[in-house]
Amino acid sequence: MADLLREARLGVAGRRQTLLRWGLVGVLLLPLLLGGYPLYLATEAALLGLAAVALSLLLGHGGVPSLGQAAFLGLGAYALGLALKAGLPLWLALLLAPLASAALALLTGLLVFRTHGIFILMLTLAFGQMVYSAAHKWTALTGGDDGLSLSGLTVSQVVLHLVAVGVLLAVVSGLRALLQTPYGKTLEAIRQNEEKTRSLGVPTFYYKLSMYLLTAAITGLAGGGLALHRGFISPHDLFWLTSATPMVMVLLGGSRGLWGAVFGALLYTFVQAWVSSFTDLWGLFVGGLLVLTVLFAREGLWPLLERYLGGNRGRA
Amino acid sequence: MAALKVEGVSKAFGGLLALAGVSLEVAPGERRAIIGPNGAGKSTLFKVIAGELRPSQGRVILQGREVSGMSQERVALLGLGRTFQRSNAFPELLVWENVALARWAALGQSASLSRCLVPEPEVRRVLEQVGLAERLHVAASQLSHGEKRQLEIAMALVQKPAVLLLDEPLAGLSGAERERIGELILALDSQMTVLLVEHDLEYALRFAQRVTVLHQGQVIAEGEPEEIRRNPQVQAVYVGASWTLETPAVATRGAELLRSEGVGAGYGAMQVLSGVRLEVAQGEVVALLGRNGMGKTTLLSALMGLLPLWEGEVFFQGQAIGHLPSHCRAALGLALVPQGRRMFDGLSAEEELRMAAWGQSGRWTVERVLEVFPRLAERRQSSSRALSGGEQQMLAIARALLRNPRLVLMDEPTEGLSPLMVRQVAEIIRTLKAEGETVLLAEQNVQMALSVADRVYILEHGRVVWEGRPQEASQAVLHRYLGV
Amino acid sequence: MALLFLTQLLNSLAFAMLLFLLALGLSLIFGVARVINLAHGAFYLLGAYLGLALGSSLSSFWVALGLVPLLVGLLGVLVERFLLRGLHGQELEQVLITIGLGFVLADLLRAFFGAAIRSVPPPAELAGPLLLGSFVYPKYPLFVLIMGVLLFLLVRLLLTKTPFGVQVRAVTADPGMASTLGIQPARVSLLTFGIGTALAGMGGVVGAPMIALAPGLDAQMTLFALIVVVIGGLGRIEGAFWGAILVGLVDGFGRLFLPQLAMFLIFALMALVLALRPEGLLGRRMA
Repeated sequence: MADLLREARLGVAGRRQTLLRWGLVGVLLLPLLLGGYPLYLATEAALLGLAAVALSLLLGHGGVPSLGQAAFLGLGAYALGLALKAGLPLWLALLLAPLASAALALLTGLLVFRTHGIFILMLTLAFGQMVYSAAHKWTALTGGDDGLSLSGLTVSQVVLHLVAVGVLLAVVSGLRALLQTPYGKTLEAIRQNEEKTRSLGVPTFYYKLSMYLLTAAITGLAGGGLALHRGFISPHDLFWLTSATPMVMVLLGGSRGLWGAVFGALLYTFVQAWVSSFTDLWGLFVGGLLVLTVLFAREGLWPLLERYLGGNRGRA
Repeated sequence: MAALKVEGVSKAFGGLLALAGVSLEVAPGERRAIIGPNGAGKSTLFKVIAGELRPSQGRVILQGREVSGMSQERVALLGLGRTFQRSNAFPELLVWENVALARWAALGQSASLSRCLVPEPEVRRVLEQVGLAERLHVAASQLSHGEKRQLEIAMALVQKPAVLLLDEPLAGLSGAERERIGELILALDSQMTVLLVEHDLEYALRFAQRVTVLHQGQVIAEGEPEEIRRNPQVQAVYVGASWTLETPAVATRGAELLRSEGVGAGYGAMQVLSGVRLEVAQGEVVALLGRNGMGKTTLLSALMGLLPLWEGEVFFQGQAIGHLPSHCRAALGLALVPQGRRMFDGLSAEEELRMAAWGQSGRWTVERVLEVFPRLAERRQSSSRALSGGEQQMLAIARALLRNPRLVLMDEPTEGLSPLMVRQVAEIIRTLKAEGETVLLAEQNVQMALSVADRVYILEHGRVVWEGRPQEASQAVLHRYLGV
Repeated sequence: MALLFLTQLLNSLAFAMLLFLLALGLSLIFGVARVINLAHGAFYLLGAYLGLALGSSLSSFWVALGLVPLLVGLLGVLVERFLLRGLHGQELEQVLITIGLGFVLADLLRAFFGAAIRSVPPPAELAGPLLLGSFVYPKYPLFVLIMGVLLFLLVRLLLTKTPFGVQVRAVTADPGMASTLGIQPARVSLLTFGIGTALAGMGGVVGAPMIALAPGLDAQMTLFALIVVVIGGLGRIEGAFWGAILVGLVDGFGRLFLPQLAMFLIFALMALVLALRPEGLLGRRMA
């Protein structure tokens, strides 16, 4: 009897969870009907959400606190922009974006995973800033502070949005499936107890590195998408404060959840737009939001929402 | 071919030699116990064998293959299994996932991308073997302490190791859980070579076919359990060389100074102490005896406020102090001479003394302390970390005294000291007693403790199991330690 | 050529002293309170703007120099007490909350003082050049240089000779043991945080005549402070001092000879130190 009740409760919670997730997808697709600015924002949200989902994997499941995600985002954007400028077809440029970021991740990962904890935080920050300085100073290549504009490129807003949302959903389901494989569970194990994992015979360094590459590639793809979407890339996209954006999204969403990251991205993008419409001080709001979330809603708002509506805490 | 061979392994940490030329050879399928008092180097030995540490000298040969200096991952894949003393495995993963992970690692399938949502038959079998068949789908963090041990053993077994290292598998367990794990280990596959480090000497001697005894990083005896039990050298190492028991009798007990009632405490999820009841009266020297891991340091830390109380209460001069932070307890008159001395990195000896003395007035002043410990006066400008072990111990005691405390808690003050220094420490305690100080002393060195104490408590598995006068203690202590 | 070299040297060292003020505060805060304060640059900016406002309203640079650090330090104490106290040991949360705080402070300053670049003139007594033979050098950077060195010696004295200083060092090394000796780590932590932020504020007042104030300066200064602390070693003031000098020189001469690569090189140095010697070039192994 108790078993049945438990099953039923899980069933209800599970259903409510699925409902919430479909709701999220709905919110992402709704702006297609509205067009214009809401559509623009929704695409931003989907693309930034992609970066947030990648960070969620890195941080929540891999346990790597990275403050250097902006580097991958920006590198992906520049890779796409420069590829297009060099006359390469769009599909190739879209391929180069994640590849460039993965290459950077490989190079830096070799040093990053020699350390842990607070040092990873600072090291990824340092690397991010190195890429920023390069973008800033190498004016011949990147146009420096003036940025790079992708003129003469016409991609339909609707198509871009659909592709962005499609990729987002594909990545989320792909990653969720990944987390249920031995590879994914080994990553989790490394986060929970690396010493033990090593003593079982797992060469943890390679697992962490491969995860870093994967998340960098996804983030790079998001960056490429953003470049297409905005039509403009500037070095500011690479500044360390920009790394805080996916961080905030992941925090809002709850660091363990991939869907939570999507929620966080949506929430953040729309709140930021709304706040910016009547004040210049959106930094104040983001900062305040960050402080309040850390103090009072450490688990993130999405799990709270899930629990409030569903009664059972979801996983990923 | 020996399953495991250790040849002349030494390991130094800075100036400290943890292992000094240890050699041993374990035959396939053998049950070997490694015993020795605290600080003997047992854990270090295991770490060197497993590849967690590189030996400074010497070689480790696993199944005919040299593995010294290889990473833990490689050694594990070459057939070495290991359980840890304080491991949490993977708390958020389910029990079966923990074991499955171990299995994948052994098979080299950890990077596999095929979804795995149910436990495989092999995983189920091993979990049944250790007795966790009912708990397959429970998160590892929800397991009881004993069940966690069972899980650890399951994770080691599923890898089918040729050599299994068990590091204090019974630590922190009691009663039925202890028995269950004990039986489980005794029932392990006889083809597997098993090395056991355990402080429960009765169990270790019951389990083993051969025993190696370590002391201060060296092998001092090796042989069959009965031989070892009767070996006078081994007995001496545990119980200490004979001292003259010149305990001055305390005619009347002074007022009660410290009392603990039903105190329980632990680390993380592991409960170390339960229901501890003891008393210390004014002017007494009370000794707390017990083997390593029985809870002496935990108790002193809990009394001082460095560890929170899980249950019970502590009364100091009648006042309940269990909820007070350490600095408040220090203000009330408690002082601690901690295990390992805990010198402050970057401070000179004099700075430590002055800092301890700041704001204090009473019998003990910096000048007085430097008179009593002339070595410190000579070395006052040196960095406290650069002092020798004995000098650091003097400094730690002086530091506590400068607080002009009502009660001094001393945690294993003779640890790592030469026999001469040990006698000096005993002298100091006697001097303190003569001056009217009250001391609660936790000690491994039984004879030294008995020579200075008025009363003795013995701790075992986190409980007080004996209380009495030192003269009566000798027989009881020997019985507890070696079953002699 | 030699004069150019000397000028750049003095400029770099003066800048280095500013960095030292910042890094010192950050280092102390990490050593004692165990917090990576990514809002540190925002405290600098706060000090700078407050210095500007008070300096002009009170018509005295020197009064502002005395008052502003106290005000900023007070804010620091409040921040530690109410925001950071409960997050002991949770590094990521601390970092996130200080980032948030930095955003809030920076935006409030922008709202109050505007986004235009403000250049602050040095006080009359320190304006103008100093003539040493044929060598001409502005007085103000020299003042900053001297102040930095004096402060270094003063803080060194404080840490070694005063009881509070010894307590700070003890709590940095082993807070548990320190508390058994009657020291209250929480209180020491609080005061150190206040001192650390006060130093950042002082840096702001002193640095304003050298570096123009604009939004975004806070993030840059936080970054510089972090670099110095990482390179020089967390929790050691010698590390902050010599690390600041190293970074100041690399930055100053880098700008002169390799303007494109200067910043890149500094971050590369930071990355190398972090990866290969995380305790910094002069630091002690963190427990």
